[in-house]
Amino acid sequence: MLYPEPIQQLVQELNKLPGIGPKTAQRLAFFLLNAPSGEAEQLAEAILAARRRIRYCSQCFNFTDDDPCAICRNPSRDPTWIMVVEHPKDVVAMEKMHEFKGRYHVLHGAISPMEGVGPEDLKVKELIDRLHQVSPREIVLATSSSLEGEATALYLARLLKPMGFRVTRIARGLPMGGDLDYTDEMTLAKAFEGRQEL
Amino acid sequence: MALEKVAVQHFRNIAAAELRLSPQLTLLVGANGQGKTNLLEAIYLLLQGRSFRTTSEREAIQEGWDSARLEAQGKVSGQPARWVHVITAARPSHQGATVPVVLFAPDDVYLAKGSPERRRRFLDLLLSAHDAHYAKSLRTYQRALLQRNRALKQPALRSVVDDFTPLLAHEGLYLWQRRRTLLSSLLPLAQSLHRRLAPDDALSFRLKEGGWSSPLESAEAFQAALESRRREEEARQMTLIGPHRDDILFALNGKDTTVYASQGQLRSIALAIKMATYEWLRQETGIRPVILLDDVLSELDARRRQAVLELTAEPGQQTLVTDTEARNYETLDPTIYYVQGGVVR
Ligand SMILES: [Zn+2]
Repeated sequence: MLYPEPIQQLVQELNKLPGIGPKTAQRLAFFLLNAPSGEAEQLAEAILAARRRIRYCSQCFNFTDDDPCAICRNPSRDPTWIMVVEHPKDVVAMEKMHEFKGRYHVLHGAISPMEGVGPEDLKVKELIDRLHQVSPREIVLATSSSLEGEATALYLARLLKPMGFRVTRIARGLPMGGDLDYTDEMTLAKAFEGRQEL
Repeated sequence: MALEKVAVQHFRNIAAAELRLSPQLTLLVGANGQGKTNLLEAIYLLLQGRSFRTTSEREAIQEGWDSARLEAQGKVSGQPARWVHVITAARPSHQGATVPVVLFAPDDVYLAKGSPERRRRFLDLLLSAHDAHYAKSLRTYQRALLQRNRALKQPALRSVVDDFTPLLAHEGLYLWQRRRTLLSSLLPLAQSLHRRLAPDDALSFRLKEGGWSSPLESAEAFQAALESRRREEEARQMTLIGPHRDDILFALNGKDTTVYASQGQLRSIALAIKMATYEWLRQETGIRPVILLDDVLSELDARRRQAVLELTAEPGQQTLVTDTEARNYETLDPTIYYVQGGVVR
């Protein structure tokens, strides 16, 4: 038996989300249909509002509803101290650590030839432009400790050092392959303090 | 080490089977293609966590079912132990201690003659099972290799090839070191066993590092070697140096076995290697490995068969044998199961 068209449509859309298979999509659809009135509307509203209001910060490329973002606007954050991370969630992880008083640059990924991702698919060109404007005192490479994160750090070091920038890499205290956001604050703080000159 | 009970469900052609094993010799009798080897594979999977067959584990689920379940009970170092291995469309789940196993199979004879891939697989299966660091290092190496090869294939990504080189070199050096150490431990064991099987032939073997004429001793040397072959790498779009191209060079009386050895000589080498593996595992793990003899004894002459049976006759040595008939084993007092069309009784 087929569900009525609107339900099919909803299942189809939910199924497009990462990690959501057809079974889960169906379960979520029925959850939304059975939820107290107003809840589905709130979810739809939240999705639309996020889509309408969230964009990349023109300086650090983190998500923001206000450009530049709160961190890039904050005068007590050192604009010449720049930490490069893979994803917006890494900024959140680093902020929980409360140790870093500079600003971020979000690459939105890591180099991975098997997925066809090279430097041109990341915010690398934007990073170079920005560095030439701010004359940074230190660039901290805080990509993950996965194979791809390490390769990305290596690529950036090869690119940035000949330009005369001071480049450091957070320590390998992180478990291999470990995402920053799964790492506890203490370990992250240690990795940050133990960063080494490249 | 003793397996007491093994239960198999929806695994290859076996719908359901339960075996109580002898602490010494268990014999699985049946014509070819009835499921004897599948039972050995099930036991290997339970004790090692991975199959000796190269195909995807998922293909081992019996047709028409969506999961296979293997279970065993027994003792390891006197303590009760339990193993469970479940194969589904997702990642297989495994629980239970890793116990050393040595499989003797008809195609062992190609170890000293067949493709290098077979020899690398021999090294990787043996090292991965008992060295978690090796298994992890191998996975990282293979991923770094895949990334680097993909970068070599796409002109737009050539600029990142060398960003995968240091990790490749780091893991590659470790794999080389472990493979060399293993082979030099196996060598004297295999030589002395081989002398008993074939007194006229002197056996030797060593690791031939992939793509380079001499062992590379440091990550820097590895990277420099890759650098020197870079143009060729770009032309052929693949990484040309590293453990993924390793081989084991076997020689009898100094002559390369891939060219000169007879079938009988290859059989002696294979037996000597497998028996050396048995000794090595026993020393390394302190546990007497379970021996699986898959249809090999009928192929052997009296002297070679004697050497294998001596091993299985030692008290406390658990062995499973497959054969097309039971009469060769009467004196050994085995527990016997008959296997026909996936049914075990
Ligand atoms: Zn910003």
